Amino acid sequence: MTTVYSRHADLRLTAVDDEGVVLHLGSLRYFTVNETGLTILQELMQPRTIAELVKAVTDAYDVSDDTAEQTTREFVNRCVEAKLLLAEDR
Amino acid sequence: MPHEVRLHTRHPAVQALVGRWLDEARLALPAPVDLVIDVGPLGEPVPDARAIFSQSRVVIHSGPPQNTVAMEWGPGLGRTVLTPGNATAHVAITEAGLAESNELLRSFLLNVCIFLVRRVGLHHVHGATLLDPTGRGWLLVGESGSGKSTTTVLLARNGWGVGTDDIAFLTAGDAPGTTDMIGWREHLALRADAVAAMGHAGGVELSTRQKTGWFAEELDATWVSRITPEIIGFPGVGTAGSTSIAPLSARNALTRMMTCSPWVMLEPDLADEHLDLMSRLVKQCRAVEISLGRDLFERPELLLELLA
Repeated sequence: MTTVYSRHADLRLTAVDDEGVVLHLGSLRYFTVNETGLTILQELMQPRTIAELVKAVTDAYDVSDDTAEQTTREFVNRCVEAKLLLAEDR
Repeated sequence: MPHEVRLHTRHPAVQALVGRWLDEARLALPAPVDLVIDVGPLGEPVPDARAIFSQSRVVIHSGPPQNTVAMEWGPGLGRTVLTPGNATAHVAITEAGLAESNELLRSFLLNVCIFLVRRVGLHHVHGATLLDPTGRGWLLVGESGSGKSTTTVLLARNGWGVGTDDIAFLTAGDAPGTTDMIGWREHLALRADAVAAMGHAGGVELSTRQKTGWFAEELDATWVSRITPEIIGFPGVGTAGSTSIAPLSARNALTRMMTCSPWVMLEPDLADEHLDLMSRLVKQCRAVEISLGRDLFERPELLLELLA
């Protein structure tokens, strides 16, 4: 079984200065994300697995696979908690 | 040829009052919108469990599943429901609502108009729009009490063009990927302490707001409907006594602007456009935080000097 992540329908994203500003229309809250977070959220235009997201991060930045995976998991988990992302087991 | 808010009502007093406000506002729209006002009982309110915004006795429900914007002034004074994609607002106002002060009625209808013109691409920001003597567009963004109206009046008296001191609208610019601002022409409104500091006589008493107001032309300024901002300023009343400015990143400018443009969170179909216009704006502008000091009263040109 694989977990696939996707953007919540209430999420809106814009990029400014290589960072991101994220709105959650359901909770009427907004967040800012750093460059790596922006890369991950942009990659999530389509549903993605953690492995696919880690690859996007390692393609974009000069980081090890381990660091990229840890960073990606932490970010994705926080986004799921904030209901910015949905996690679906397939 | 710009379009306008078209008023439809059978009530002569509403026609006279609201018609005058809309004429004075001179809001230039890319397509017409229709404001239909009936006077009579509202009927029973429909329960609405959706998220609530509240502003000046106007309660706003928005979001799924209906995806409408339901607004109630009161309670029991006025009501409307705006539907997605429909540039007509049917507003009901009670006789009790009409008996309220003109300024409160205006505040309710202004909220209605803010949502109505979103349907033709105009998105509201609490901001002042100005044109400096060198021809650069400025947007001063801030909530009530930030000093933007005082600054606007000071600059209006010193050769700057003015669009509005509070009701500004983001809209697509003529150049691709840019954002312009359209101003809702109204009285530039100051509290008594600012009027005293300004030493400017005359004006209209805006009793409900406890302010005194002037149209830009009454301050010998040119009223400017539309500007292309090059500078976004976030004013605040400083404690140091002297005016200063500090740069702001585009990201910080965007998040600061969102607090003064909260409707970006409402109506999912329009949120993308609203956010995109704000994002373009902060990219096209130099953003600064402005700490306002009393020295600006003596030397309004200081703002340009500090920015140079």
